Amino acid sequence: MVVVLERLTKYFGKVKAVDNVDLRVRDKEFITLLGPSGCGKTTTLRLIAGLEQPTSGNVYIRDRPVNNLSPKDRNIAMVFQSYALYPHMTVFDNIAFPLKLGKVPKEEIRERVKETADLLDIEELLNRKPRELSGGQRQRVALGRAIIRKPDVYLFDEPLSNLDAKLRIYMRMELVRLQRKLGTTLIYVTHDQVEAMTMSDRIAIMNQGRIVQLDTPEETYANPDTLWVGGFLGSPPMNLIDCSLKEKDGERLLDAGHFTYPISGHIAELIGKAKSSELVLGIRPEDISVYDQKKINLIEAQVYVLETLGDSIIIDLKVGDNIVKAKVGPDFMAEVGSKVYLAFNERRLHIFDKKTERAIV
Amino acid sequence: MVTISPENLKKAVSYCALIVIVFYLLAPFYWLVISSLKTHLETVTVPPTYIPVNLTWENFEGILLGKITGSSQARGTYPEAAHRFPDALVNSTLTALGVTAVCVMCGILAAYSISRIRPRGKDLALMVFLSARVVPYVTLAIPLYILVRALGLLDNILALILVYSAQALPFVVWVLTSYFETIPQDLEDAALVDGCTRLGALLKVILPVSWPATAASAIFSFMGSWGGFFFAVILTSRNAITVPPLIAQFVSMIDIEFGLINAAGVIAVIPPVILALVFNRFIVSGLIRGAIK
Repeated sequence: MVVVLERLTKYFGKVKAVDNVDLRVRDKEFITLLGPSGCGKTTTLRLIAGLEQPTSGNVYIRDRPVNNLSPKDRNIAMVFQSYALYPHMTVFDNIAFPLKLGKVPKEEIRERVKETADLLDIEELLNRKPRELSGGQRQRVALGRAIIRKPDVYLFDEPLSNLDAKLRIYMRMELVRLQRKLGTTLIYVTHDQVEAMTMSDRIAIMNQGRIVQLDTPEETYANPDTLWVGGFLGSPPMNLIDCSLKEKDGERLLDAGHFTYPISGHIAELIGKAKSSELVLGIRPEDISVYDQKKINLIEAQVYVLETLGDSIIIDLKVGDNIVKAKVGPDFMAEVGSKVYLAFNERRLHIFDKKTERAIV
Repeated sequence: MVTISPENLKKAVSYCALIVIVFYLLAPFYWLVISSLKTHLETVTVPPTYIPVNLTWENFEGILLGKITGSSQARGTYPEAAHRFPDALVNSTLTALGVTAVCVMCGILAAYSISRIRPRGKDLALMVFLSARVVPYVTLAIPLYILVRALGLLDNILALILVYSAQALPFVVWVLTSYFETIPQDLEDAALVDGCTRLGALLKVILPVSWPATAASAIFSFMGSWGGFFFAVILTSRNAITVPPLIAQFVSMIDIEFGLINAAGVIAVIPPVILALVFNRFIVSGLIRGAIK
């Protein structure tokens, strides 16, 4: 393990920013800390970097306890959201700065800066100052300053958030390519789900200072552990409908008030084992099929809003008092106010215990 | 009939007002310079001459070289203090440089601590710093005299350095703290991660980035102590006397040596004028940057 966090906790006054976080980061892994603003992901990163001191708990880097080590002694490199380029230095001096502090010989510095600049395609920028660079160029200089040091672990704090959408897409892939090429361990912080899903080997989803789920992107998306994770991940988010388990004519049903949904005996058994009476049904928009004709077991709904995205259409559907979102292909035809009929993909149905908020199915 | 547009009329009025203000500000300085180049007789002649009839360097020779010439010699009124002008100039320079060094060094460390390390009670500390400037200096005269005498520093430029530094430091700390707070924390964090100690981050990153405020603080400290009169009169006599109290000694029971006073004034004004002309844009940007986010 390259980085180990052991019951890490951080208070700012009375506010618990990081709450008993345990995390083990493997060698050469790209792991993302994902969560909403204020969830503690940046604070966790800063605790690893040594820019904050933990209230309790331990941080290990390459099996070395680093709690009492300053940032410069931890062999880490960090890229900040604002890039934090030194405005009074040229690009060359910015990239060379860590090596100059490490008293590396001038000739070696020159060589390594040139090598790094070649890798990032910024050779022609070396004599410029940061204010003369575009956002994308500044970001690459910040990357250069980090990778020139060859640290044990890279820490990236939302490095793409200041870029425009097109550049962000390009840089996502560039970062992944770079990480694979350098064979480095990278801990990445973001609130952007697309970045987390497309770039990471594993995602640690954080909420209120805790890691609520740690898994691969596919597994986290397909099998959220809690109601909160299910509702957080996905755009549009997962539909969450209150319901309860009922039996009618020997058939087990989920009763959501305005509609009922038949479930298999196996699912009913799982719900029974959990001893939950109040449930939440979760279904992702892309797992809802929408028909214009009534068939058996389909749920009646009314089209409320249509949002055309070009490659797909998001339909807001009124089902009783609930608004349910469905994602359909661009050729779907329906008018606002018209009646439609819904089917759920049972293999991708989620059921949560409303009290504990944990996933049952 | 010639008509003037409202815009041109506005411009004309603005220029007239500016001319009046510039005249008001520069006229005394002009009078100072031309009077320093006049003989004593021409200085006291009525009506006064606005362009010197007989240009002379005797006043500058009198204070810089101790040459008693011309009218002073004839009248026997050359003040003994004028011989000590070069020493007073040195004292003023050393005092001003000493105050600048103390204020800049202590100010930077205090401002960095307040803005970055944020110790408990930092807001109270800042208020205490600023409230020191509210106290009228006259009320401090006697206590400071007693304190300086107890320290054995009467008639020593060290006393002036300490007193003027105490005067200027609150303002310097306030300006630098405001400026440091506009510098993103990320910059310093990056320096710490790259391999700097806290002091290294301050010296290699924060200070180079905040040189307008540092320059403004240095200039403010220098100018304030260079022209200081009140405490210099109270705390110095012969050895550590600076230029302003020395010039006051050119007024004797016998006569007022206008020529020497004016020549001394011209020389005394040179360093602040040079500083202001060269660094004026830094003074403004250093003082206001901290006020605007």
